[in-house]
Amino acid sequence: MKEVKTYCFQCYNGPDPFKMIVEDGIVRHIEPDFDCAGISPGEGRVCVKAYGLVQKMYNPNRIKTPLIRTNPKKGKNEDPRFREATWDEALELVAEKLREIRKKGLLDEKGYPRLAVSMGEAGSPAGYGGTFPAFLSAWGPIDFTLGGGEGSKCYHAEHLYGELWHRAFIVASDTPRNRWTLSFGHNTNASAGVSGAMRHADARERGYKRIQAEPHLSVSAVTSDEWIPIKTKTDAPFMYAMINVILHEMAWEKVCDIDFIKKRTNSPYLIGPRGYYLRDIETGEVLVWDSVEGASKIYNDPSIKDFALTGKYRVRAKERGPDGEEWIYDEAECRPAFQLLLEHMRAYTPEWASEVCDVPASTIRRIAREMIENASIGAEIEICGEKIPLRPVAITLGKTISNGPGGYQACWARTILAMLTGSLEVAGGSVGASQRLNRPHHDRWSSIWPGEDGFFQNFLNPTDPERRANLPKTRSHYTELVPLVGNTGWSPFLSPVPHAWLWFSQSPENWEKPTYPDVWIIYRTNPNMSMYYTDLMEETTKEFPFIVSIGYTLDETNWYADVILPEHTDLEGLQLFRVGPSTHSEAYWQEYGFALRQPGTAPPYNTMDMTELSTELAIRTGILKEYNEAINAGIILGIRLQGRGYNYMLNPDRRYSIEEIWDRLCRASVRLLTNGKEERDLEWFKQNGYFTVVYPFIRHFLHPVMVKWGLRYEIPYQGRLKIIGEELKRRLEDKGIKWWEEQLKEYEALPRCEDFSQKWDESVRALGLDPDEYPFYMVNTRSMQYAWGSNASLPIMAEMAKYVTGFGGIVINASVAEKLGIEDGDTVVVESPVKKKTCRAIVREGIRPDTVLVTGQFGNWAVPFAKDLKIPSLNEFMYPDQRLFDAGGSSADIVKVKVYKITID
Amino acid sequence: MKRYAMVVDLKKCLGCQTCTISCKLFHGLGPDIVRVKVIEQEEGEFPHVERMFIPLRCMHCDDPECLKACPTGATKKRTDGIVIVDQDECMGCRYCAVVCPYQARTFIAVDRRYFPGNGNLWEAKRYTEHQTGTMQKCDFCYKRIDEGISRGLEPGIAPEATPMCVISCIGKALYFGDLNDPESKVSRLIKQRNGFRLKEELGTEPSVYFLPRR
Amino acid sequence: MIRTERQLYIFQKDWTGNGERGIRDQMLMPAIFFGAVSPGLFLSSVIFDYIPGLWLSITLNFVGYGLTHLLYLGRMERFWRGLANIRTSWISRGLLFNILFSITSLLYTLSATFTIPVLNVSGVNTTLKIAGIISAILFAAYPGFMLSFVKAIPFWRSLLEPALFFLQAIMAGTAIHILSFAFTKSGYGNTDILTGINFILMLTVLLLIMTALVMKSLHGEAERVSVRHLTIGGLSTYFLGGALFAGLVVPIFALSLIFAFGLDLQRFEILLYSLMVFELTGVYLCKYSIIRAGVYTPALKSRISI
Ligand SMILES: Nc1nc2c(c(=O)[nH]1)N[C@H]1C(S)=C(S)[C@@H](COP(=O)(O)OP(=O)(O)OC[C@H]3O[C@@H](n4cnc5c(=O)[nH]c(N)nc54)[C@H](O)[C@@H]3O)O[C@H]1N2
Ligand SMILES: Nc1nc2c(c(=O)[nH]1)N[C@H]1C(S)=C(S)[C@@H](COP(=O)(O)OP(=O)(O)OC[C@H]3O[C@@H](n4cnc5c(=O)[nH]c(N)nc54)[C@H](O)[C@@H]3O)O[C@H]1N2
Ligand code: SF4
Ligand code: SF4
Ligand code: SF4
Ligand code: SF4
Ligand code: SF4
Ligand SMILES: [Mo]
Repeated sequence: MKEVKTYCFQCYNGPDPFKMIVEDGIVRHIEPDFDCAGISPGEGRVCVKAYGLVQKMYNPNRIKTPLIRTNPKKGKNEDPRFREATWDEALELVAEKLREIRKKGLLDEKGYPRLAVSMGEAGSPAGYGGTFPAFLSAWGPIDFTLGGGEGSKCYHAEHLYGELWHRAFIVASDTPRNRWTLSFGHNTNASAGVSGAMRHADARERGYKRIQAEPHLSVSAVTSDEWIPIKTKTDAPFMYAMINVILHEMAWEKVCDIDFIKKRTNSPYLIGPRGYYLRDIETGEVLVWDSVEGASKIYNDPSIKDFALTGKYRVRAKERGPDGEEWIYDEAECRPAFQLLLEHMRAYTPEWASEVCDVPASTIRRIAREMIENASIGAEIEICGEKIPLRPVAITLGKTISNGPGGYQACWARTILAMLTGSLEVAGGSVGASQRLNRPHHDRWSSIWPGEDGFFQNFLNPTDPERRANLPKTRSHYTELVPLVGNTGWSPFLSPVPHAWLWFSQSPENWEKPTYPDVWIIYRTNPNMSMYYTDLMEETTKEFPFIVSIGYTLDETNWYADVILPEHTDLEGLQLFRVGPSTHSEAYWQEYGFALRQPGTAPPYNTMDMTELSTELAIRTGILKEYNEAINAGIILGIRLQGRGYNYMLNPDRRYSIEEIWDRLCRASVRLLTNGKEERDLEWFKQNGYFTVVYPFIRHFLHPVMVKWGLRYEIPYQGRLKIIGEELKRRLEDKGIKWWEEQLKEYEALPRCEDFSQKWDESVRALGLDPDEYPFYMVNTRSMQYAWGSNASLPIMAEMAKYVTGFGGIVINASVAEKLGIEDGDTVVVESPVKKKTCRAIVREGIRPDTVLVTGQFGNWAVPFAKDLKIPSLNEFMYPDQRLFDAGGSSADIVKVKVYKITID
Repeated sequence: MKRYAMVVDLKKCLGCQTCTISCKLFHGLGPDIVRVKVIEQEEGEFPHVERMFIPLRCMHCDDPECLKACPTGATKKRTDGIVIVDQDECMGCRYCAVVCPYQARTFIAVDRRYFPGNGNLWEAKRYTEHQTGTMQKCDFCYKRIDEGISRGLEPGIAPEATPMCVISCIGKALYFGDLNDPESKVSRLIKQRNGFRLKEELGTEPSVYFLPRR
Repeated sequence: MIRTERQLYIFQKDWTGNGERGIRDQMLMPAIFFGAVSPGLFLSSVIFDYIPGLWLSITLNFVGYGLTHLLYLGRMERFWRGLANIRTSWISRGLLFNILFSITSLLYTLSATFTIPVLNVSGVNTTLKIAGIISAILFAAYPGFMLSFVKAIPFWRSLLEPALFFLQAIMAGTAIHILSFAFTKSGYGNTDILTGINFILMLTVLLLIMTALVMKSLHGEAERVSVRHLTIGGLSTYFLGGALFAGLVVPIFALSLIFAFGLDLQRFEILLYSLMVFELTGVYLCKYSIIRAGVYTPALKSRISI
């Protein structure tokens, strides 16, 4: 018996280290790795999905050897007739197509990259791709925007605004110190991985309070103290009303964190008549009002005695608007941003919200008061010897809350509530997890640099005509349409991906129809299942000239592939990966460093390690030199092979084995962590699993670095967004584009709120149908047992999932079901405006009468085993509707449906 | 004398099924054969609904119904309180499964595989560990515990001497230890948090305690 | 609420089999049925000195009960181990009773049929007879005890259960006794008295079942769930329609008419035999539904959240 250390990164909450127990030539079972108990937030344990990896490895339905398509006709009903091939033959076929591209030019006639690569699973391919990033980097321009459901269906607004305000990809709570959490559909018990689940379990034991607001009683509501059955997509109105209660029913001057509001936010910034920051005429710096001296001053003037938050003032100043336009006033009438906030929020009373959310006004009032009461304003706590505020209240948002219509408003209101309680990026409060649009990904502190107007720097896509002219082209056109998403490595994944797909068949007015990529490589994503409008998606992928899938089983997307290259799975491949200090989610590590993923035994099938696959592709396409150089330069995990006192550089012209490459990366990684002092080789990593160094926990909170640089969060007033929005509007008007107008309205300095749930009724109406005919909001929920649809082919996961109600059918409220004559287990018809399908009814009490629920991401018709489950997918019921996109191009997993009992006639 | 016991914190269990799968993998159990099952209960009417998860495994009763019911003597109780089934003696009558108030037992009817018709190296090797036509149930991983003890480790403290489900639980909702030791974590938790047992009125004297949700 | 109930109350499934082992999984019900008919018929035959009945009883015991039961076991080659725990296990006891019954009934039947020197000594003969009767009674009643000692399933837990199983056994015994006249006319003259006994037994059994249902539905929630399942739920066709109506009410009614009008039973042979078939089917369905209706109390009932 032998123990082999490795990690799981099947979902973005990892990596979570564990041990394989290898005996008798098989990976016998899996055990936690308690050696990292004090290091990782999961304390060395792994979740149910990780135990499924053994079945994943030995799954006889895997693709066991390279496959080449023999049926040239593509279609859902066309059997691809894959034939088995040797690795040499399959790789050569792919390489030939790639070499053709290099001959013709990397960009096509219209300027789109000829090679498109899609990776999904919310970034987890990074934990499996080996040196694939080096191949991609060596290649040159690639279009990454033909994605699956990740990004645009993910926590989208949360990602974009999270980076803007929190410098974070996802905003979590500092659970170990938290006392009160209000979660709007943040489905911790299903989606927050080992770390989230464990931290919240510990907090429950300690006695924190958690309130779950959600249309159904989810697995996370099970362990919450209170469930608020809020109507779908009315989370923002609920929070607006909470703000209204605090600002207009409570003595906000007394109960809010005034010090924080004045010093860490733009609340005191004076706003001019045109709605822009009011600026000093000479320096152009933003002005505030010193209420003690009764004069305007530049915001960071050390002589300021006190910042005015309210009132109306007259100041000699200027305003700067879009495209650098300026207005100079002798006496500008102006108000602090906070004053505008007060006025803005007046209309959003609990009574108004009560109607919208279907929650009693008294509940909203109570929740608002509870938040204030638990905020412990003034309290401090010591972390790593440093005193920081302790504000143990937090609000978390789930993905459907933070994408599509209302996503911006929800994120904004959540941040306002954090501002009012001073719980933004401090102990116990709302704390961001690692960033993705900004660099470096793994350390938020190092990315915080003073930018304009006292805020930290953000790198957005340009909205000025000059810089826009030279933007690289991708099929989702994110650089032109979504300034907030920026243009770094992750940006294409968070771009308005649906656009790319929709526009192949029909592009909107005055907008160019994109070209198909000459070669499309898909790796760990299944767009035809995870994207919306799956029927349309299939029609599109069918047309692609050449599709290469680096795959695991047959799925709904690689059904259309020309070649499938099977890779080593989780327990078979070799590579190094970053662990800590935080991932995309509530996973805050005590240490950080690198962990090794390594094979337990010899792989049972003829599959290939991603590093070898990448090297092969590099050689066969003639870019070995660039590939090796990319590795040398640190494209893999930011580990440069050369540094002070060490040089492990690869000879660019030589082919290296998997072990050689990772041995060097292992050594360099430890040098990187120890400032060049220490070195560990691959052998060491194989024995010990990971090498980590202490990460000062204080760095998980932005507060100290904000204080250090004297920075403010750009909250509540979105001065910059307002300008960007107007500039974007001008640019699009110049091109005669009208179809983005709804989205442009979102660029408001103080966002207006409405009943966003109505948008789905409007959408039905726009199709000429009666919304009352479609009385249910169909929503989706995750399950701990599944990582998207990626482990849907494993029967053992289905067995585990079936113990949790909701799996395998559509959940409907008991009294509604009774009215419709539906009994638990009945076969019912679910019908959206575009799709009709039968499925099994699961009758429960814990769901709103106007909601039906599907669990997980199924609907498969190609994936072995999963296709026999006959579980519907929300995606197939959806249809494209521009009005359901937000300004980031994301949309929510919601569709209106009717449900009725099947009648045999 | 030891009396091994488990404590399940209902406040912490999130129904993730990690315990179930880790046990299955560790013990090499085939499709639908589980030794710990996390059941779900929903009570009340919308909007006043209570939903909860309850991990159920053999309660290692001090006065086990199964032991009394088992005609063959295949079901045995060890001196440390662990109730086990000797597969070599079981005749597969299933009376024990019926009489168990906690639905803790599963019958291996046939040698069923997850992938019918297909070869699978793992299944071929692991499923030989059990006999079809006999009864399966949680045995508190007694072999693991015994082996741990023989290496001088303390069950419930050293992972190597603690049941698989306990060390894998991601809600840290499971505890293991000696009930007869008033200082053990399990004893203390039961006292501090009013640990209770399921269906105590039946007089089975289970060794699995539950900590209340509220 | 119905949904909630379904989640809370789990039905016993181990004895109804999930069909994985095909027909073998279904063998328990025939075993239980013939385990009642066989000793019932034995008793009835002993009383009326009905040799064909004795032989039929033995056949039903060995084939109907023994063989089916063996097939039902997961490991039938180990059936002998079942004797290991007579001290506490009702299955062990059942096995013992069955063995005793098998031996004594066989020997007694042999002695009654043939002239076998050793057996036909009067003391031995009487001993065999008494031992046969006692073991038949024990054997007939043991499944009732087996159920009534299941603490986990409240619906089964009462002494009505053994009483019912025992009475049903004799009832079924007399029924099959009468039915056997369709094939042999020996002992045919006892039809009237047998029918009378059968009638009384049916009334008693009906009364017993009704009492049990009322008592159970007054008792606890789990019992109520079982009762509901039998009367208005998924088992109502089997139980209400089959076991009670077709199996008891119809024969009782028909026989009452015959008795009331003083009609000659012999003239309604076909009707009588049909009624017996009804009755036997009723007995089968009754046992089947009772076993299926076994429901566990909820693992944990919170109501006021735990
Ligand atoms: N209905 C619905 N749709 C959704 C969502 C939802 O909640 N509901 N969520 C959305 C969100 S937030 C996201 S992030 C996306 C995610 O959606 P995707 O990124 O598309 O992820 P999956 O659908 O899991 O596809 C992963 C694919 O990888 C393959 N795979 C699995 N294991 C391996 C392996 O080891 N190697 C290789 N090469 N391939 C493997 C699987 O066969 C599967 O087809 O889905 C979105 N779509
Ligand atoms: N086990 C597991 N973990 C995962 C993943 C996985 O596939 N499996 N995927 C990862 C990824 S990529 C993502 S994006 C995250 C997603 O993580 P979450 O957003 O936490 O998870 P979901 O369950 O998709 O959605 C959250 C809940 O929102 C509810 N909901 C829907 N509409 C509304 C609404 O309008 N208002 C409110 N209040 N609630 C609503 C749904 O019912 C659902 O229960 O999970 C990550 N973690
Ligand atoms: S939470 Fe995600 S990364 Fe962690 S063990 Fe589970 S599947 Fe793997
Ligand atoms: S829980 Fe059931 S199987 Fe376990 S000892 Fe008690 S009665 Fe026996
Ligand atoms: S199935 Fe086996 S363990 Fe259970 S009572 Fe029968 S012989 Fe005993
Ligand atoms: S104690 Fe061992 S056998 Fe019992 S449920 Fe846990 S892991 Fe399985
Ligand atoms: S692993 Fe722990 S938290 Fe998960 S279901 Fe089992 S007992 Fe509950
Ligand atoms: Mo996602």
